[in-house]
Amino acid sequence: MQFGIFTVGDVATDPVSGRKPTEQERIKAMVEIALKAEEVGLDVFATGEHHNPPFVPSSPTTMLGYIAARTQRLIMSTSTTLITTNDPVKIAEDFAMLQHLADGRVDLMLGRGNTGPVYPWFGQDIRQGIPLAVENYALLHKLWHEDVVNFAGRFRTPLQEFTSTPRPLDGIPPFVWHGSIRSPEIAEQAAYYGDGFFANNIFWPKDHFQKLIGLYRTRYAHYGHGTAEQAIVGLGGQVFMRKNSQDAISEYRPYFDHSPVMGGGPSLEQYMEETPLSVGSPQEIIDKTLTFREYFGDYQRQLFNVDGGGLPLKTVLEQLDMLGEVVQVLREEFAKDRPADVPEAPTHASLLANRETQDA
Amino acid sequence: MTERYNSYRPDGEPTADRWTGALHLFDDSKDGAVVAVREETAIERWERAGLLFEEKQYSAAAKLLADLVDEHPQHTAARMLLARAYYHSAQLTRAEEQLRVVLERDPVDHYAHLMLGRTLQRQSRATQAAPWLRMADAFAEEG
Repeated sequence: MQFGIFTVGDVATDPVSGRKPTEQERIKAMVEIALKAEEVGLDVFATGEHHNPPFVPSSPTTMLGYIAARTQRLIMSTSTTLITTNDPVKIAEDFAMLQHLADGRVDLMLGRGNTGPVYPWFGQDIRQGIPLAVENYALLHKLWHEDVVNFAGRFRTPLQEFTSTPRPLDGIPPFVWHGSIRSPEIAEQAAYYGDGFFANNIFWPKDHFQKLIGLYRTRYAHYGHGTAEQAIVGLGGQVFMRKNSQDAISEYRPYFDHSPVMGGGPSLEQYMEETPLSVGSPQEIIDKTLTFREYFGDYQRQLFNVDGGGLPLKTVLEQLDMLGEVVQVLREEFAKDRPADVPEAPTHASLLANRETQDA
Repeated sequence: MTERYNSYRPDGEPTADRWTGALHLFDDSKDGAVVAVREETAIERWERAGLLFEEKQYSAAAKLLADLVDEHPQHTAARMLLARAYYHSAQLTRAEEQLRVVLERDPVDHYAHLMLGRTLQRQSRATQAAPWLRMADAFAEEG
């Protein structure tokens, strides 16, 4: 299994100190967090993509390129890359470039975006979100898998005899996960292509995701990519830890209460009942994370958000130290009773090895 | 076509028709070349209208059914469902209009009689409603 962190790059005032980082401080903090993730033994670092304050990560591959240069093992990913408002040609180019720089330590997670105004900023209509996501990915897929592309669709000017450059590293495109919070169409899309499906369930209750992931698994099998149990599933959660559970809760509470997304509704305790948000001791985090498998089946990737809501960098780095230890336990525990025929998440290395076995 | 991907229940979940519709998204794909977001056939729209109706999305169902009934004027079942969708979304004049068309084509449709009676009643036209309700009773006894 792969374990990692994802950031949405929010620039927020720390509700406890009253301090707000500058954009540069936040950007550099994200890099520090990524480097720390590798240091403590995590596998993946993913960045969101946003095009308005109070967020900074508008140019994900720029930042991931910088991190790639300063890491050895970490897999660079996104949570998520906008498949609706980005030109698929640009996505194809940017990520192929990143692959070459990072020796293949790259994959990406595609999403439609949750900020309405982004669509018109990039010349699109939010009401076309799903058709756009379907058509754009069809083009992206072609650009990576075919050297010469002819494509005509509804949302972009046509391409004739077009070659996206550079070609994917070793001719193997980055593995793609499709992210969805609500849309059954995206689960179907992931299944159709045999790609991964990422359920970033930090804001929604689990019953909702059981249906969505169930659809993806069933349809993955329907399209002949493997059994439903062999489909490639990723989950997103959120953690805050201290050695003592009560300390974690009291320290985190102001961050929760002031969170633009979480605060002002159900209490922290209620929120934790209903969603993957885990605030407590490392053991509690381990116990809760281990239950996800009961609801969603054996899965391939678990990402955690640890840096949102204005938490100071020092605190986030402490969280990562603890998360490193927690993940060591999770690796062992998740491996127990995991059926032998349930695959790991595809990586560049594993896809290359598969192809070489097939060619042989 | 944009409505079909943007329909949500009051609790924020996608409507049932989106779950079934998703399964057809790639039906026309050949050799991996995706025909992105194909047009729905009339049958698919009929099924989707039924799902929306079951989920009490009456206005959404009515929009789909109105188009279907324009394209297939002989399809009584669609017209009846349209009338019921109008009725449940308080579009009573339109419900009445559709029911009268059904009855012109099929003067012994018991349910259409009943519905027209009820539609007129809801518009406080009890005197006009009465004969339709009587006919509905008569047909019901024979059935």
